[in-house]
Amino acid sequence: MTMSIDEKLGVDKIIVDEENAHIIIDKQYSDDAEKRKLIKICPAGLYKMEEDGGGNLTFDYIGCLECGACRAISLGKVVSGWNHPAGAMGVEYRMG
Amino acid sequence: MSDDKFDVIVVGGGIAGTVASYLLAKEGLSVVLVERGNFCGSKNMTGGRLYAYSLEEVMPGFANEAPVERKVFKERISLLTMDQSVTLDVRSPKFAESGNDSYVVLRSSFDRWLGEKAESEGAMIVAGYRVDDLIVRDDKVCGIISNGEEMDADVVVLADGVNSLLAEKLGMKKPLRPEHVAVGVKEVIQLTRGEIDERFGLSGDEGCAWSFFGANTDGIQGGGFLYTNKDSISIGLTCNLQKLSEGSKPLMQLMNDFQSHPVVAPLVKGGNLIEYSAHLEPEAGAKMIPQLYGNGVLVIGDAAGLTLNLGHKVRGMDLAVISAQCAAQAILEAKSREDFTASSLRKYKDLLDVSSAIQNIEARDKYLEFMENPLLYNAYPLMIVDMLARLFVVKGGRAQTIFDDILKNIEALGKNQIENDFKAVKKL
Ligand SMILES: Cc1cc2nc3c(=O)[nH]c(=O)nc-3n(C[C@H](O)[C@H](O)[C@H](O)COP(=O)(O)OP(=O)(O)OC[C@H]3O[C@@H](n4cnc5c(N)ncnc54)[C@H](O)[C@@H]3O)c2cc1C
Ligand code: SF4
Repeated sequence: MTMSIDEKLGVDKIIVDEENAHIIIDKQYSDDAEKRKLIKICPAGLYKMEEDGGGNLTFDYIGCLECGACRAISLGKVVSGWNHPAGAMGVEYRMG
Repeated sequence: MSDDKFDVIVVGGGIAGTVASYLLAKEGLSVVLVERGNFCGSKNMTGGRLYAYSLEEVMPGFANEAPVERKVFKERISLLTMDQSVTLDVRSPKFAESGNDSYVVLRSSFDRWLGEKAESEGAMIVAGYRVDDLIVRDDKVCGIISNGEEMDADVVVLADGVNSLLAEKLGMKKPLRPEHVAVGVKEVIQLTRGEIDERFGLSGDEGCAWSFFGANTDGIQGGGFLYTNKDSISIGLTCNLQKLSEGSKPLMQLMNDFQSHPVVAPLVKGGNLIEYSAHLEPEAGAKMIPQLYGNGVLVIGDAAGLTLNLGHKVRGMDLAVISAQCAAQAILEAKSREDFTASSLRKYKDLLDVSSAIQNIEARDKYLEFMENPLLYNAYPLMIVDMLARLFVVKGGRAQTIFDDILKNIEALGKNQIENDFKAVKKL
């Protein structure tokens, strides 16, 4: 039985920085191919197409595993800002 | 934080940063290691296997004391199609001989232990602080800025991993190119010791390292891995980031499909997921190595792109140790001259250049190009598995020899293609 990505992330210890988003995306960015890339590569499934069929991208930094894949793919395109979360914030691996 | 000036500030508490801090503190230098996570190792993941030779040189007998999971006694490689497989199982006492030995590790506890070793030599660890910027005066790196506070040092060592934003800021490193990195995902799945011993044919502290190629990455350059821990397994996939972004399936789905494969499903059956993690892995060899030294600054470990991905063998942790050793020696020599300019710290690159780390990376550059051949991840595994599977099939009608099969496969792929690839193998 496979678990959903939300169930998987639910197992992790993540200290959410409610005040600061460490990744900022440009919701106006219009190239669909670029959006599809992000949907494929984000291991946490945080990039999604909005379900209204309008082709808009949604993104939530909560659940980010800080891998940097979206930065390497799309910095300056969809990803307009990317930093490591502030000290002591974000994912905390207990296994690693 | 403190107003005093330190000899060395190390940014990042992974393998590279903790080992560099250990070596420098041991020689009496004042060392501060700044880690953005709440403890060394809290942000780090790896596939699982540390080749011991280099850490053994730094801390002889480390494996008796460190929180290692299992010692690798057994190696397996599988080629997968959607529903078929061929597995090679190699068990040899050679794997356990001192100098050849390798250990499965979980980084949260392993790096933490390394950090404690550095502390026991007098290094100070400041965890839970992200280094936001570097202090640069007169073209020389003079310290760090974290949370608005400044801290000065003669040398700053950037051990901040594959996403080294600091080396980029200094202009020492270019932003990562998607074709130069792989993205890896991993699940740690809890099983009992008994289940692990039984499923993998192990006993005591024996461990198994297993790599998987073929259908599990949907033809994308990359592979699957599985390592046995004491009472869990680490299982995951890596895919070249560029190829993944051009492919047809999301990484999350590839990971699910991999675990549902008939070879893999029984291995994870009934296990409990205890962690899901992701990380980038440099995989472009020498062409992604940044500028390694500057005035008052050195770049080591993954931040310097020092990972060697040979498919069935991934080496990054052992190379992180080597780069830490070279950096520590260069800094000690610079300290004896009280000269921390680029020309003095260049010694780091000179040492690295003659080390096995760089020599292996350079020697493997051709191999890396070869590894980009897409046939390696779909057509060839399919061909090999198919041929071997048919070797065992008996049915009515005229029996086919394996040679008929080979000829048929060669025709299907094109003789020229195979000839060219064969030549490429010979050149390696
Ligand atoms: C899926 C996968 C499988 C792998 N399998 C293997 C394997 O089996 N064997 C092997 O030898 N290698 C393997 N590797 C490679 C290996 O994991 C790396 O080479 C190794 O972790 C590099 O160590 P490092 O210390 O250089 O970097 P990291 O372990 O990434 O450490 C960097 C540290 O810097 C900290 N940091 C970053 N920025 C800042 C900042 N601004 N301020 C403060 N702290 C900061 C981070 O929190 C982190 O602790 C694998 C890699 C991946 C992704
Ligand atoms: S850093 Fe990695 S996990 Fe976080 S949003 Fe980007 S791709 Fe997803």
